[in-house]
Amino acid sequence: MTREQAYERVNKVFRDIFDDESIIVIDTTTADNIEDWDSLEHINLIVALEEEFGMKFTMGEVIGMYNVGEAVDIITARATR
Amino acid sequence: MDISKELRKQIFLTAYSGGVGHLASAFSAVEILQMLYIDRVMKFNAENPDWDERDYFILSKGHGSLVLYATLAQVGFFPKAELYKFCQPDGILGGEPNTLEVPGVEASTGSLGHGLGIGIGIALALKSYCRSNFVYVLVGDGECQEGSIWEAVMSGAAFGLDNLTVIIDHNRIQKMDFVEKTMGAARHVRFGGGQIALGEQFRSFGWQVKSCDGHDTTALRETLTGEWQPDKPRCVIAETVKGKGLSLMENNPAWHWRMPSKKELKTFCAELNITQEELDECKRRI
Amino acid sequence: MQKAYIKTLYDIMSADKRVCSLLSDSGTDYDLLMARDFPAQCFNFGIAEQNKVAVASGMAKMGKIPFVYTTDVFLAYRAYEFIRDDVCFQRRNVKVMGMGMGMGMGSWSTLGPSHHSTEALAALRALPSLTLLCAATPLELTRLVRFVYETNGPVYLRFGMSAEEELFGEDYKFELGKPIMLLNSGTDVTIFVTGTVAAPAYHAAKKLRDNGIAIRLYNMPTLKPIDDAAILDALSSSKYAFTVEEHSLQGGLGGAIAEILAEAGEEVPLKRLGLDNCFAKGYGTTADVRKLNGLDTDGIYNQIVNHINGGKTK
Repeated sequence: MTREQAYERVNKVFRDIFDDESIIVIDTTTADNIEDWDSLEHINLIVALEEEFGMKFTMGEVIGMYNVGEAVDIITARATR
Repeated sequence: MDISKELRKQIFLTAYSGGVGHLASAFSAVEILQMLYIDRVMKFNAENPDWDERDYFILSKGHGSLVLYATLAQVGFFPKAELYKFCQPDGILGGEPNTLEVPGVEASTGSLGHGLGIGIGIALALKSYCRSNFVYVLVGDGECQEGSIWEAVMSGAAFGLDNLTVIIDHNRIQKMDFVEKTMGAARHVRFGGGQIALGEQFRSFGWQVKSCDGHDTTALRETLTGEWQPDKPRCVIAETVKGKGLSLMENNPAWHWRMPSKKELKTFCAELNITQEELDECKRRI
Repeated sequence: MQKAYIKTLYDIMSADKRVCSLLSDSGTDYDLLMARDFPAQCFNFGIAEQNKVAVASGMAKMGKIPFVYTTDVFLAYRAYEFIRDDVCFQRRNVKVMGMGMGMGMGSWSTLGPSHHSTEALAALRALPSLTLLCAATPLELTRLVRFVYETNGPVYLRFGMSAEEELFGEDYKFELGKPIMLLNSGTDVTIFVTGTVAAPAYHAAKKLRDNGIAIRLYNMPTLKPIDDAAILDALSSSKYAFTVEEHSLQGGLGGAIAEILAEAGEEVPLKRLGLDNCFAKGYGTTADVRKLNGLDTDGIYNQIVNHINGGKTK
């Protein structure tokens, strides 16, 4: 799976979680760029990404994640779907 | 607009005005307090909160304060305007109820497992004064994991306090997870967790136990005012749903202490038919 | 600070299978993920704080290193005797982690006194063999969690919940018992602070400095054992000493400093800032409630200036 393919599906997950069709996330996108992306939404986002790509993040990865690029690195490495 | 919907709307706007609140814990107990106060199963006098012929209600699960406040305001213990100063510096209503500041609050609670002991003290005193007032204590099902609850349950039976009724808000969810998955008996033996037999536990301690639909005010009233034996305290297991009344919240542990995001707020307002004006009004600072 | 705590604990648990996290329905979503990653090291005992401290004592006896984590008030008050008899008296290697110290739960303080741990130090300071620490910022907390893991014996570490201002840099160095310099513009006035109220105390100190008052501000992560000599040294040639804490004036940091001064015959007049024989008033944001109780930046600043202008000097 290429990064572009991953981003297509990642964007879909973000738009659904934040109910905002205009969202476009890139490597450097962080919680500050998206309203409502606080610690509570963080977990829902993680679980949604895990279901979309059929993989699991470790807690260490989740709590250390600063931007979307870091998530996509892990997704492209471990996605099973 | 039926009363329970109005109470739920009032609860949400109260929390929204302060920007914080244990909504789901309050929504699960609406009909219980509606039955006690608005259907007047309890004797009380809102103009004279200290009336000595009143029955006593203690919210042992203090974080459910929003439902107590909305109900007390509805029957006139204090002006409804106070609701919109919830959790604010100039208000008297905090996340946990304070008996010294809020008319109609019989005991300050917040740390779990205290309210039942306080209720037993009141019931004992009433017996000693030969007065026939009743004491009602609302306890959470997760709260029954505190040892102090069982010290109180033991003493209630030992003193034969038939003027005391514990109502368990049996919504099956606590802060992190479902009660059964947290501390269900034989939790490890069967992954699904054992059925918590709260009723059996109270019965084994010498209490009379009945259960009913915790969202049906008629069933609740008939259970409370029905046939009970003397010399034994009473326990009513109210089968409830945490977050009842808001689809997003119902049966979802994530909603223990959380306010809706922008997206979720739309659904909340639709389901409770709250208008934008009402949202703005409760935020307006006088 | 919750995130700083769980991030540090995660790294420790990854490396050391003896380390366990004991919750009492007190975890966050991150704890749920941690339990997924380390099922054999994560335990939730339900809303039963007394029980889980006794359990921790039994586990520590068997070589485990339990981190017992919940809201500070439920440990310091409700489980106090279990900490005393099962952890301190039996010298068990149990790490008691009290979250939400003082009046605030992160940026909010809406639950009132039932959730304010404003007498915890007085209760805990007297416990023999207990190391008692308070973290002021996330970075300090990560260092203190490492310290308590590496140090054998009973320890109680109190910290905030979220939204704390960071006051330290990577050069932060923790030494048990020692005060840590936060600001230095001279020796006339020496201020000691502990815990998350260090941020408003820091801004008050800057305001004092900018108004020409020669002051030193020290953060005190250790409440027990305090290095008396280090305190007396920090106070040298001061005309006034102040302590600031989200705590009763009795038995906390103020009490500890007063004991040291009196026994040393040191004549620096001490003024303790905190809660004067009262439960904290009010609800709102943590800043609101600090303001209502005189422990926001301006409240601290004004109390210090008024006291100095009051004229009682050495």
